[in-house]
Parts: sequence; C-alpha cells; structure tokens
Amino acid sequence: MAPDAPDFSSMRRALVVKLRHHGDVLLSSPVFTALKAHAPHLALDALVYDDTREMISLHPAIDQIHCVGRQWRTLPALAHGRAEWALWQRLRDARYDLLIHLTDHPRGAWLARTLGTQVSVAPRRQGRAARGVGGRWWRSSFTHHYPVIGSGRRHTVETHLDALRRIGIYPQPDQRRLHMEPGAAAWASVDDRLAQAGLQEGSFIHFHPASRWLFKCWPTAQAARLIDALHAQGEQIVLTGAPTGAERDMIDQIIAQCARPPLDWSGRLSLKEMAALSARARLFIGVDSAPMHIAAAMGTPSVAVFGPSGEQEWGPWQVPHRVVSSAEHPCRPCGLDGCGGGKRSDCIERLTVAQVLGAARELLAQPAGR
Amino acid sequence: MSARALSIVHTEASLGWGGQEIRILNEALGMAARGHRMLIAAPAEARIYTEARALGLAATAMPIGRKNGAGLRAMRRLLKTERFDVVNSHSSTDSWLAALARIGLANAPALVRTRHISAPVSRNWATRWLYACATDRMATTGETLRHDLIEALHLDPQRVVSVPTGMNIDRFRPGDRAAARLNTCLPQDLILVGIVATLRSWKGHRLLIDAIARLGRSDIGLVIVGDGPQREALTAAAAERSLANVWMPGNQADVVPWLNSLDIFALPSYANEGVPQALVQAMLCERACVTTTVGAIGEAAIDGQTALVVAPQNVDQLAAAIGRLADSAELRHTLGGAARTHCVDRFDATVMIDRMERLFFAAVGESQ
Repeated sequence: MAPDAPDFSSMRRALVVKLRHHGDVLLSSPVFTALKAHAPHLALDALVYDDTREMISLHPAIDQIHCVGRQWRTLPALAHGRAEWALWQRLRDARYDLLIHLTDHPRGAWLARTLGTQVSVAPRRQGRAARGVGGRWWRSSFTHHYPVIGSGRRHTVETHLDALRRIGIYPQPDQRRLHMEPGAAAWASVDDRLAQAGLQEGSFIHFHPASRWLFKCWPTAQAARLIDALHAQGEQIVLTGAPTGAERDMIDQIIAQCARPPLDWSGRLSLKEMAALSARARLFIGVDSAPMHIAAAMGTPSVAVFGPSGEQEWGPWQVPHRVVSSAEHPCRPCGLDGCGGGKRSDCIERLTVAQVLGAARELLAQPAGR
Repeated sequence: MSARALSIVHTEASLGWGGQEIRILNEALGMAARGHRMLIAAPAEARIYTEARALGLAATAMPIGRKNGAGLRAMRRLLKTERFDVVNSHSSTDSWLAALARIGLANAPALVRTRHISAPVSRNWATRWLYACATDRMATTGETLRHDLIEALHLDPQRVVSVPTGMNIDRFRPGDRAAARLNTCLPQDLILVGIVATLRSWKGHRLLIDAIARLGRSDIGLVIVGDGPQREALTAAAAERSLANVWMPGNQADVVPWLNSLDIFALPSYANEGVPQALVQAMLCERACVTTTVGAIGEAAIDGQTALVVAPQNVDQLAAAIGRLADSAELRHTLGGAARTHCVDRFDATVMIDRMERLFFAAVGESQ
C-alpha cells in the first residue's frame, strides 16, 4: 500500500479529467468503475471535451459530466472567457475532494491549484518537460504523481489505472474492462436499420477502414479487395466512417473500387449508434481508432490493422482479437505521422489483404459465444 | 414548558438540498412555534436560504460557503452584532467558522453541532479541538453515529446526544391505496414497488431496476420518485432491460400520495446514509419496506419485524425480498403495521423538538 495513500472515507466527491480524443476518453472508463468499486460513497464526475461526452455518458459510476467546448477557442475573447469562468465556477461549487488528471494538459494543474481539492493525482512529467520552471510548476500543482512507462510498453488502460494505484487503489481484473453504454435510443435505431437491411444480430462484419489520422489508414485498394474477398466467402459487411473530410473521400474511393458495394452506413451513425452496431456484429475489422476501442468495449471480436502506433499501448482491450502489423519494419511503433513525417506510413501500406483476411478467418472460426 | 425563550441561529454552509436541510427547517419551525427566536444563516446561493424565507423563517445570507477570511469575518460580525444564546452548526465549514469566530468574543453564544451524515470524522488534532474543546454539545441523527463520533474523538458521552430526525406523524399516515393511485395516475391492477430518493448512485436505483428485471413479472411495476444526476443513466438502464411498467415522475412536492400508491417501498442504499427520512416516511405510511444495513438504517428497519433487510449491493437478495413481499399481502400488512408503530415511538417530530430544546438549554448551562 502506498504510504501516502489518502483516506477516502472522509471524501465526498471526485473529478476525473480526461481532455483528449474519443478513444482515449473511452480508455479511461475503467478508472470510474474501479474508483466507484473501491469507494462506493463517492460522487464521481468527469471533465472531458464536449464532442467526447458520448463515450462515457450513461456510465453507471458517473454522476455528472462537465465539458470543455472544442469550439470555445473560436469564440470572441469575451464569450470564451465567460464560458471558461462559468465552467470553473461549476467545478468550484461542486467542492471536489479528489482530482484525478489523466493527461499532461495544463488545465488539470490549474484546476488542482484553484479548486482547493485536498488530493490531486497526475502523471509524472519526464525528460525536458520535467525540468525548469514548467516542470517545477507541474510538480507542485499536484499532491501525487504517477510514473508513466514510456516507449509504448504499457497499455493506456493500465497507465490510466496507475493513477489509482498511486493512491492505494488496486483494480481487480474485472474492474479493468472498458464500458460504453449505447442507451435505449441508439439500440432502437440500430436495430431498426438492421431490420430494414435484413441483417440478423451476429450475422455481419462491421468494417471501419478509416481514421481521422490518415497515416494510420490502410490503402483504399487493399480495403476494397478485402471487402470483395469477404463477399466472395458469403460474408455481409457494414461499412462505417466519419461524415466529412478526408475520411469521407476514403470511403468513397473504397466503394468505387469494390466489385459489389458493401452496405455503406458511413456518416449516418452517432457514436452511441456505432457502439450498438458493433455489439450486434459478429466481427469488427478496423484500424487503430475510436471505433476499434468501441468494439472492444462492446465485447466484439476484432481484427486491428496497426501501422505506426503500437498495439502494446493501444491494442484492442480485453476482447478476442488479432493485430495485423508489419514484421518487416523494426522501426515501428514509431508514433510518427507517416514515414519521415510525410503523412504516409510504409508499415501499414505494405500489409496485404491475405494477412487481414487470415486474421478475420481465424476469429470467425471461433465459436460465436462471447 | 420552556424556562425562557432562546435566541438560536442555525448555520448551514452546504448549497445542497436534501434530508439534512429539510430537517433544519422543520426543527426551526418547531422551535419557533414554541416561542424561540430562530434565524437561518446560509450562503445566498444555497437553496435552504430561499426555502427558509418561503416558510416564513428569518434568514440571512452570508458568504459562509468556504473556509476563508470572508466567511470568518461575516460569522464574527453576525455573532457580535446580534446576541444569540446558541449557534447550531450543521456542516463542517460553518462549524469551523463558528468555532473560530467565537474565540475571544464577550458573551459568546454556546455552540451546538449537529452531525447529519455517517461519513467518518477525521481523527487529527484540529478536528479533536473542534469537537472536544470548541463545541459545547453535539447531536447526531442516530445512535450508531453517536457511538462512532464518541469513539473516534474520545468525547465525553454526556455531551453527545442522538436525536433522530423526526417526521410529522399526522402528515405521514397510511391512506387508501386506490384513492392515492387515482391521485398519482398510477394503474390500479399492478403490484407497485417504489423508491423516493435523489437519483444518486449510492441510493441503489440501478440495483432496484436490475432486481425488478430479474423477477421478470408482468404484475410488478416500478415507481422512481425524485430527480438527480443519474436520471439519464437510469432511464437508459430501465429501457435497456425492457422494463415495461416504469414511472419516473421526478421530484414531488407532496410524496404522501406517492407513498400510499405503493405496495412495496424499496431503498437499497449502499453508502452515505444516516436514518433515511424517506424510509421513515414510508414506514409511517405502513408500507412494507425492503432496505439494507448501511449507516443507521438498522434503527428503523429490523429484519423480519419492521422491514425486510438485505445486504448492500446484492441484487439476488433484493429481488428475492421483493418477490416474497409481492406474493404475500399478509406479510406486507404485518410489516407495514409494525413499521408505523416502531417509527411513531422513535421518529416523531415532537420528540425531536423536545430533545433539541433540552440540548440547547443544556448547552447554555440552564435546565428547563
């Protein structure tokens, strides 16, 4: 037991801060489960970006979700300031006893300093970030710091849970599961769509080929040939993707290259509906992205195509899966935005259709019971 | 009956609204009716401040929400300018402010602290000073809490009194179920299981939804009265388990018809309870109750005599107890009758006011 572990019995409210992208927020869901299991009397709130709210809303351990608006920066200075002030007042009025900050975002340090929480936990900064005035400021902002194992050797879920271990909470294996609640409306709309398309639960493959980060994507030609090969084997495929931008273009290119187009649901589903769809699918295929983590949260067996990001750190969590990645690139995982920073990653582009298909066949051959 | 009229100020730093705040106002109204001069001091943004004024109680807004200089100055000014006999503090922050503000004050009022919640008290020297030296008398809302407090801080047992929260036993009384259901628009032909509590995780609404789902009986309906942060999640949970007969009417100003509409009252709390007021109210209405062993619930619910008591966070036991009550109108009737008798003896508001009055006189060093 950590000698400086706080006494939870005198605490009433805790705030967990996770200001990152969708997948990262979902990977913080076990923190709430484990903290609630250890201290059931605590009211647990979250602070996340507003667009990531759906990843953790309806989580049974969470009371309130506070949001930082992604669009606040684009507001006029006065309106931006007012929004920030209103948020800070709400947080202050909640009187948190415990603050758990899961990133190195400076907002967590400001909150720890100004909200008057007795106990605050944050990752220890390393290297240059730990030195100088900024490093000292970060260190003195929090009462507890947890070390982060670098080089992608530890899964992000475990790193998040390290924040709890640092203060004397050791999560049981069953408390480390991801949790996402689609909610009644999402279940109903997805079941409607499936019925209209004539698809049964557990009879189709959910394929999410793109990511907001194009250097994490598999080339469209291979994706199209994978769809053709799966179709040839009698599988049904539902394609999903973001409604706009480069991701939309990728989906269009994939469909254009297919012999027979798959069901294209891209741009039609909310994140909650994406979760309900994944849960109904027999298999998920996708790149390292939020939908891959959603599939894991819903317990759907997953084929994950990895390029420059590391599966040790970001792989499908606690779900039957196969990672398809290059054995010929000793440089990976590099975490770079493409080889040489050129936005295209050789290690993912060289992965063959046969490799992904083989992984899918292996998972499909396993008995359906989860 | 009283030796003289006392001048009493209740301080409350908490902005929340729940059992604690309702008790403070009921106590103040009862004492005012006996001729004592009452004042409620709270932050302007606290709901108790507005509610007190709405009830015709004198209330003053002070920045006592936080332990800081402004709070201390405001408290000291209040105690200096008005001559009170007793300060009755209710939350940690206002207790500290009152204790510190009294230091060095001529004719300082007596300090009485009421502890409403079961959260353990810190055992450091500062807290010991607050309770053992700076406070004249302490009240807790139950015997269990009294013992815990005495033990944790080695207090003189004479100075700590248990004063359970009292209810108006004439207002909370059994009524005709069919008439009540007409009033609440609930169906006549179902066995209704209900909970009245803020929608907070530890009240156990989710466990109750799971238990009802596990029973899977079309003759049982679920009524969830109250509002709170878990509303969205609970609505989703009920829908996900395909419960057909669920009503979530939100907060209700008058819960009596809702209680009297129920066949079974359930409160599966798993943390943060003293003696829950909603449970006592349901028992006074002769409802058959299912609850747990958390906090001081045992002072109201005795398993097999005044209620059925199950282990906290145990859906199987909860479902079994509800099933047992649903199957036996006779058991419901027996438990309900015993529940009211038990609660009339212990949780009558008149008794609460009597005891608090005695405590206040003891604190100022006078007997009645």
